[in-house]
Amino acid sequence: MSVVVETMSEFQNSEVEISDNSLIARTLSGETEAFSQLVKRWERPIYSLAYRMLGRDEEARDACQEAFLSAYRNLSKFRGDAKFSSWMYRIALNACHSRRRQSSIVTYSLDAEDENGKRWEIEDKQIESLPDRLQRDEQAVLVRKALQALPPEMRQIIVMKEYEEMTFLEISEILNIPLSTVKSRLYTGLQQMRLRLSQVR
Amino acid sequence: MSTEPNNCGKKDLLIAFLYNEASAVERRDFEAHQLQCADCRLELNSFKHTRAEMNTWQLPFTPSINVTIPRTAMDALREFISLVPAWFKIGSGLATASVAALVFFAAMNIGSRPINSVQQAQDSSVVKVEQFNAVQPQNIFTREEAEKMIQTAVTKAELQSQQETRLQLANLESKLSSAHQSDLKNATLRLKKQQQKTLDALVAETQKQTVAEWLFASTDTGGDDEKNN
Repeated sequence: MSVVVETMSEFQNSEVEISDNSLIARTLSGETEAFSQLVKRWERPIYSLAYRMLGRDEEARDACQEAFLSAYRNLSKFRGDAKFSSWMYRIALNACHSRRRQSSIVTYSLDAEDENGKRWEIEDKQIESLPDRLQRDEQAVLVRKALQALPPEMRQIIVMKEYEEMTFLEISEILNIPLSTVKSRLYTGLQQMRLRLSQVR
Repeated sequence: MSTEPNNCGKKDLLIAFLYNEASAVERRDFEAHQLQCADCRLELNSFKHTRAEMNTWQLPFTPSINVTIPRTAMDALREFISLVPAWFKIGSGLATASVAALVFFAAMNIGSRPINSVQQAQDSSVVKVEQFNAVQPQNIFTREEAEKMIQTAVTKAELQSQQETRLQLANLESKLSSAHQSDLKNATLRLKKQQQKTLDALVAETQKQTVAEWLFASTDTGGDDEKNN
């Protein structure tokens, strides 16, 4: 039964990829509506990734738009040997890093320590002042802040594995790093998260 | 809960086991290992707990990203081409092909002209000029040049039309004057004839009267004679 389910899943995945490739071909032949379909298909996972990486809705939306525009402009450079989703995730991550670099709101020092001795506390007044519904959920806010305090290379792997549920191989392909590096960064990231969350518990 | 680093050397295996990405062999190995290694067992449980905590942060809504794709000139051209009817595409294709052929043949003709044969060149100069004129629309002019050319063409056309109108008017005038003259001649002739007729009638009347008078006079004279006799 599980073999049938796996086979079906693979079939569905390949169908999606074929469809992605045909949409790309149609876009390249001048049919801009085909690209809108691609955006519609991938906007949620890309937004989710950007939101976890940046921690703010507005920033995540901007990063998404930048990523999709960049993908559109560079669509002719897309080689069919990789999945469109992997390529798109890579572009989105670059857009997030670029936004992070431009913004000086959040600092990433893992050794930062405030007056109360809470090592993970970071200066992020915008996050604290946002009347976001997530702020009502204390645990979620703590997780978000702990995640934002991680260095980008650890944060992106935790986001991709924990929230986007990608395999180690997919992460390795998207980030173009060895599998062992993915695992070791994930291990260190989990340790950092555990440490930060245990300190405020 | 352990926050101390695990120096067991099974980190990769632990992570693969935690995320269910270990192979069957790796899974068996780690399960056997954690029974003996307290550090790995503790770390595995603490990581499971951390993961559960991290999963309290879920996306609160489904976003809708509006990506506005900027249209380039090439996109607009592509869209235009896709929208125009087939006959237009065929027509424009044929027109382009004809213009290209004209240019090609003109270039071939100019290129094949013998350089040392001045006479032949002179003879064919008219043809060459005509060909050049036919090819002219292919050239790219500046706006000023184009305006000047259009103005010259308009002036030339106006002059030509004025000349034609003048010629037509002159023709009409000459026709009218000739018609008038012939009418005058006819009228003069008619008048002369009428005058002649009137004159003849008068002469005839005068003659009649003269004869009558003469006859009357002679009659009177005869009576007197008879009386005298």
